[in-house]
Amino acid sequence: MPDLDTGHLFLTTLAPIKPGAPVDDLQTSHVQLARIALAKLPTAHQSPATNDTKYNSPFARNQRNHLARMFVLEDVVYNGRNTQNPILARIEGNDQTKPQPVDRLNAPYLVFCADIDAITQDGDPLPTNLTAEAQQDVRKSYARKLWDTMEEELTEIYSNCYGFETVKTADQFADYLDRCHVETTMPFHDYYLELPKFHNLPFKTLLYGVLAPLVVGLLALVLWLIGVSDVPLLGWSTLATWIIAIALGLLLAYGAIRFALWNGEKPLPPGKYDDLPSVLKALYVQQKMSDLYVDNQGASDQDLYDAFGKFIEEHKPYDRKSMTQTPGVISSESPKNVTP
Amino acid sequence: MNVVTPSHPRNTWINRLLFMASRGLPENLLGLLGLSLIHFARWVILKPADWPNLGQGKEELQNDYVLFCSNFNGTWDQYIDAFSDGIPSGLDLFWYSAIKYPKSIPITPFKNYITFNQIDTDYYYNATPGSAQRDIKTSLAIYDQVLKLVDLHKHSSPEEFAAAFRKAAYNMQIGLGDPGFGPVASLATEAADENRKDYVERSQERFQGLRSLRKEQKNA
Repeated sequence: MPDLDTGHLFLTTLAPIKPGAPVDDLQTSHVQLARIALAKLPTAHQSPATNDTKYNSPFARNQRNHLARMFVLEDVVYNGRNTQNPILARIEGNDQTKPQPVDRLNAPYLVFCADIDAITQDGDPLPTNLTAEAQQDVRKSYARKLWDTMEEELTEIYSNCYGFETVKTADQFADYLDRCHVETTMPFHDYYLELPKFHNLPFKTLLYGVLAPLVVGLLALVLWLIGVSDVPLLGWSTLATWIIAIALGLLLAYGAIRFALWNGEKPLPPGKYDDLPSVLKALYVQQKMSDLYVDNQGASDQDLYDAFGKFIEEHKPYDRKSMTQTPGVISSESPKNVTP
Repeated sequence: MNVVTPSHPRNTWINRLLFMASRGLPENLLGLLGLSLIHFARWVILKPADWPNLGQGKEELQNDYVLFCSNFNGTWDQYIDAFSDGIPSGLDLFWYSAIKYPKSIPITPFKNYITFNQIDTDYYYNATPGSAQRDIKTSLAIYDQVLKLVDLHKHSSPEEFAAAFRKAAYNMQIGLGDPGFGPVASLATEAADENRKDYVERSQERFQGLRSLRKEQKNA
């Protein structure tokens, strides 16, 4: 389950959007209504234009998601007809002037992707590994958190989607979002101070392990084809040898592929301060530390010691719940951007 | 950025293998790590059976699709340039199964391909919008040093502490500073933010009213 990596869940969900328009607003399609609902969601206080607005993003009402995005996928992309070698096309009788079939989706999809701390209780440490069931618990816990903090916004967006009609509670939304879940294949994240211990793949061992019986099998095949019935020195039947060796090589190749997939799916461990509360606290401390540094240029040892004592008292470096930057703001400069 | 690329079904298993092998052969990941501008990214291989069916019907598609989403700092051009210049072969492996993928060099057809296969984001949230990926890593490094100083402060003399502080400050000074707005990457986004303000406020006020009502009903 590569959804989980570095202690985070790479949540990917696709919710099909209903066709047509609702009966009470026949002029506006569900796709357009979903887009309007998304356009009316406040973003983070992230730019000069949004910095002083009254409302921050509803996603800033929790401390689990680092990043989130929603978009409407109206249809899949068509990159033009598949070309073919003209000789092969002529032999196969493929008339390249005839249109090829083009993929079309049954419905537009609302895609929701979030990069979240893989926890079920706020303040929990990030996990190194989780079972499939535990990952589902994380997904559902996050969905419930969203429902508890932004039910109205979610309703406005998702009421344009299939299957949302019966969603009235946090648990129902968690079940609904889980039905929309698709597995992330390849996650990537990097807040590492030191590179993690990777799950190294013994590539050369696997390669030589697969090649050895295949080479033996091919040599035996060549001998058999030129009429040699026994392998020199060993005396084995060349027919049996090439069949068994090539079958063994193919079997090992299959095993090596399965092993590489299994090995790659193993999650990497979280970085030292990889959860969102730690990241926010680190950003806060960085800014306050800059002030301390500037204010104490040339200070005596005792003054520096005392100033740092005050710094600890005021900014509580170990406490990640208070004196920290709130989510979705540019900096801790303004007191309104600090959780006291 | 969101990119949805049609992919040959006969090749997507190879693409999955390439992804998983790269996670076990970290020298291939180091290029991606070395770009130092991506916070989180993901590739999602969608086979026809993977599309959730909530009543719209099972998707009957001849192709598999790969969804790529990346959270990066900087502009679109900077990002694509960094990919193409920094890890061209890694990039070609990650899009191995993509139909009509032109390879990452030369860059013009590559940029055209991304543009054509890209889906605009309708809503985006970033919990740390003032900080690029490097800023976050620097702040984490400073936080690490500060916590060590906090521990030292408990049981050291002012002289010992001051010496350690100055040493730590020397190490962390490159990252000391204040986060701020990034350069305006898109005037259209800036204008949209301005123009949406009233709508955003009105809808949030309506939601707040609904929330209060819900709370009252719960308490009653």
